[in-house]
Amino acid sequence: MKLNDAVAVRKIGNDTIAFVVGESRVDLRQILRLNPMAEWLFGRLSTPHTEDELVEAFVAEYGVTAEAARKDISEFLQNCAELGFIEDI
Amino acid sequence: MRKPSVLSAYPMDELSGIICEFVEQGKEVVFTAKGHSMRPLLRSDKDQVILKACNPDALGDGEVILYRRDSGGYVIHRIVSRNKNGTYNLMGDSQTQLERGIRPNQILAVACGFIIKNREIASSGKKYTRYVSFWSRSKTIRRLYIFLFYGFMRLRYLAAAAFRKIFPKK
Repeated sequence: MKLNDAVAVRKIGNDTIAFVVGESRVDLRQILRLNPMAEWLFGRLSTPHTEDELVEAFVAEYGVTAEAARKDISEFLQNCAELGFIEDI
Repeated sequence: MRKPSVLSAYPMDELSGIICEFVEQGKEVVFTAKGHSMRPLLRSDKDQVILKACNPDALGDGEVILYRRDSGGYVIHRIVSRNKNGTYNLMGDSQTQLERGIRPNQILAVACGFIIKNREIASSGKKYTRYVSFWSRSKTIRRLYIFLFYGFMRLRYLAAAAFRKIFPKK
């Protein structure tokens, strides 16, 4: 999976936000506010990665257990997929 | 990791840079309105404005524009008239005081449509143009609406304050 090419990520003050940019229209009705870990994941997802690869890298980066990382990442990816922010490839 | 927070309404002052960036690229930008000054057309945090690029020297009466005040604030209001020196006089739909002398270089975008109760309405649509024509001329109805709307808001505020006083949070 990877980040949808139409997703734009911007910094606003202390927040990092993401939204979808359409061909002719930008819809700011659904803005995703990213916490530092979500921002890190979005950075990773700019290139294709499997969930296992993300979990592995996340554990190495943040020193959490693989079980906890998998649960959080899986939930996060599911939410992002529902909003159209990531796509399966 | 917490669930990502999805926001439907973000302060316009903070989003203005993004709105301008994409409007300048020729895209339409859908943005959730905040504030009550454009009622009854737009409900705060519920309805959306669709903005697009415009020629700020060639806007007509009745058009809704996004502009930047000299104080730095970003506002969406309606053009009421144009002065001989090329500046515009603006007013929100639930206001009675004109904001005079808005220069074309303060104007960033024009509304080409609205999303009201999840239905898209073009600014060239018949119903909308009828609304603009009616609302621009009906000063008495506008004053009555403002009296009732803000009266209701005040009552609601007072009732909430009284409720909090009677039933304080423990």
